[in-house]
Amino acid sequence: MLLVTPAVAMVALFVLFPLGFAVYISLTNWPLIGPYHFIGGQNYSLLVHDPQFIHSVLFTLLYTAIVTGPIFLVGYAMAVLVRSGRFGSVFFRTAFFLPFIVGLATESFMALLELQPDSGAADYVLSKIGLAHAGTAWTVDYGLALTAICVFVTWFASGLTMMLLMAGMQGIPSELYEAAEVDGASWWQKEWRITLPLLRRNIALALIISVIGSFLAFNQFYILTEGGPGTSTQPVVMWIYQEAFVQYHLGYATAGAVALVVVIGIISAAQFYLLRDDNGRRARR
Amino acid sequence: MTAAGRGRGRDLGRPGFALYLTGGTLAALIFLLPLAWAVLRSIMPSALVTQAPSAGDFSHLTTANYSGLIQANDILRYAANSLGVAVGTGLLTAVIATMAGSGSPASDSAARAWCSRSCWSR
Repeated sequence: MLLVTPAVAMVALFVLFPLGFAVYISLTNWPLIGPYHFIGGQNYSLLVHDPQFIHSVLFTLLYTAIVTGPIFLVGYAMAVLVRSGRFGSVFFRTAFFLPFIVGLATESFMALLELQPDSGAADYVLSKIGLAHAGTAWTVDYGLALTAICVFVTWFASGLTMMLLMAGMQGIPSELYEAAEVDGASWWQKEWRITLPLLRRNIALALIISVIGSFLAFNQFYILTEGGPGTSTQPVVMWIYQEAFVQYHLGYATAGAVALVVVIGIISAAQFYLLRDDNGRRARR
Repeated sequence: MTAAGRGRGRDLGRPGFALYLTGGTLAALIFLLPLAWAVLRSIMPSALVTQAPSAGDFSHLTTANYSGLIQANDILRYAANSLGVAVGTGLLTAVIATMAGSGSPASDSAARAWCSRSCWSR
């Protein structure tokens, strides 16, 4: 019990206390400097009528809805490809995971450079193969920017999903597959009847990490579009950032942040519930 | 190690192995080429990077960006700062997490009993 004390102290000092303090700040009209006073739930009642905040929430939901599927499917396909210790699988794993290691901020700047009309490599290659007109201004058009960022994020994040799913796949006893093969099961049957059911918890983890990541998206939008054109591609975290450090409405911004924490908690709980391990429980009984 | 060795010998003759190798290589290129391209960009003169691409771009490679980086900035200082933070975080996490993770057998089984009742994981 004594050994847990430092960890508990750290969590209390760096998680619980700041969280409680954030809730307090959200109930005040906290400026960056100067006096403040307690205003109760006023920030929250303003928040639900703020068109800018609502737009950023809806945009974040749209973005999450678009990228979650591709990240999962690409990650799953790559996990299938590299899960066995076949020749080259370690190299492939490394290659697929590398964008995640290099980091989103660095790669966002790379993408910004290569998406520039007339000078960027992405613009050049896409126009050569006929997918876009030469000189397309990718980052200053709502649809184009959203498309580019979604493709870019899928490229960046699917490696992590691959790692999480691959670890789960390798933990499934090979006897199950051997028994299925004896019974003449096809590849699809083995995947559908054995891998997917036994992978539920890993799938839940991969999806929750992916969805939380999408909800907290900031770097790629800040660097590539700066929320523009206008504020059309502004995700929630950027709204919080703008409100706090550009407008200096720290109390109001913190209310938005607390609301985001609550929403993420609810969605994660819902995902845990939907992907809970009830199949396994029934089998054990 | 032996399992991997056996696997490799067996793989080469298997049906589908060519497909695996082709698909894997193509997918790996999708992930590696943009990163390799970024490395190439770093040894291009900055004037060329913002110009329309041409075949001549690759004949003007330079290390000026890197030497400029070291001369004009405190980049080594920044790198040292990052290293300090990384080492400190690693050490502190290792110590605290190890302490928190290694309970006495009694507390361990108590934790497990609690977990089996109320945790989502078994």
